[in-house]
Amino acid sequence: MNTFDDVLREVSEQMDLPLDVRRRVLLELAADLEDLRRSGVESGLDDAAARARALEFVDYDPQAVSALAAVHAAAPRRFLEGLSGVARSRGERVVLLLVSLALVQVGGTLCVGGEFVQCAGALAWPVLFVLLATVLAALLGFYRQRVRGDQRAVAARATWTWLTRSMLLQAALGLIAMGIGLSEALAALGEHATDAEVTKSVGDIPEGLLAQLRILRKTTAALALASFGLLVACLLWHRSAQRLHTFEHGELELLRSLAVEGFPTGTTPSTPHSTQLPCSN
Amino acid sequence: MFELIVNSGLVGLVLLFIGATCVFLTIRALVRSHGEAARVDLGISRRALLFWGGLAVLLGFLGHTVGVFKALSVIVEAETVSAQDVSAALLASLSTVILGFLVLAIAGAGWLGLGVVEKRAQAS
Repeated sequence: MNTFDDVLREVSEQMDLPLDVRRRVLLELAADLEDLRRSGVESGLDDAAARARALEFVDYDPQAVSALAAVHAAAPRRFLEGLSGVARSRGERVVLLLVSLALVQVGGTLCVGGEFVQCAGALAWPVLFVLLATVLAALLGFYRQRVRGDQRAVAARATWTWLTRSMLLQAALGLIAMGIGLSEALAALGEHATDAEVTKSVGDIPEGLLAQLRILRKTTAALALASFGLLVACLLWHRSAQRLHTFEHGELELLRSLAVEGFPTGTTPSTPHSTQLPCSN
Repeated sequence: MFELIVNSGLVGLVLLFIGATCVFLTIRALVRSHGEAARVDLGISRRALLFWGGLAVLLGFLGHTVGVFKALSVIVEAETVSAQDVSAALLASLSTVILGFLVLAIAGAGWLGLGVVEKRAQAS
């Protein structure tokens, strides 16, 4: 473990740089700090004082670190680097693409003409609001990771957490819509229970039954919207989890390489707090 | 089975691909189930199967709700109801949900099978 492991980890979290560039900067910083500490110890200082003096000499600045991002990697390059696939196999990625295309087609059916939204009425708006918020959160995460090149696991985890919550919220909204719809249908059933008539043809459907069918149709429209929103959130969440996994794995590798390539003090490399993988697929 | 997929339309086709992916993942994990790295691979494949199975059910449910909505729209809105239209919409809706659960069953079987292989690998 490097003597300055905690400092390096802090710097790593502040750096808005691609992993390979961040690795180079951190290795350089680790070597400088250790050189300074060693020269302090050789000049008669105890270990803590030598460490403090090394930190004073280097005195890293977050703004300087941000400036490094602009110097080391331009936005288009970072964007292209981020496009490298992280799904496990090409076949799986193709199937995911097919699912997304099917969702686009179903989304078109749901939204074009506004029939579903109109029919679902008030139940549609919370679902659509959460869906919009989910897509915006995913787009924000995409911009931060791909365009700005912010590959810190901390930032990716924030997006992942948001998408997890919105996925649960969509599922809850679907259940609420189903609950409301079924209770309304049951109430209508009680109301029109005495209207029992023999229906000889579809044109003779009694008004009570038609009222129930309208309620069921409204509920189904809301459920279709909620399940569509849930599927969109699921796919975005999956993508976000993959990115988070990649970043956390990269950070772990980075810290391990620092512990090995740096100046070991006889202890085993520490595991950062952020290595708990939420989903490895 | 073929009729089931045809009735389900595009969603059915995607569900078919998801089912094929589940089968492929299971077979690949079984073929590679030797050594330390394979043990990790087994765990990842099991989680992937759960993901695909869950996705298939959600997709099937989405197709189901859209189909039921169309069937109810035919009944509620039309002046004269065509029994053929209603049955076609209901058939499509039921086909997608059945296919979705079928894919989940395949994924579940793969998940359980790989679990047994994983336990055996850990024991050895």
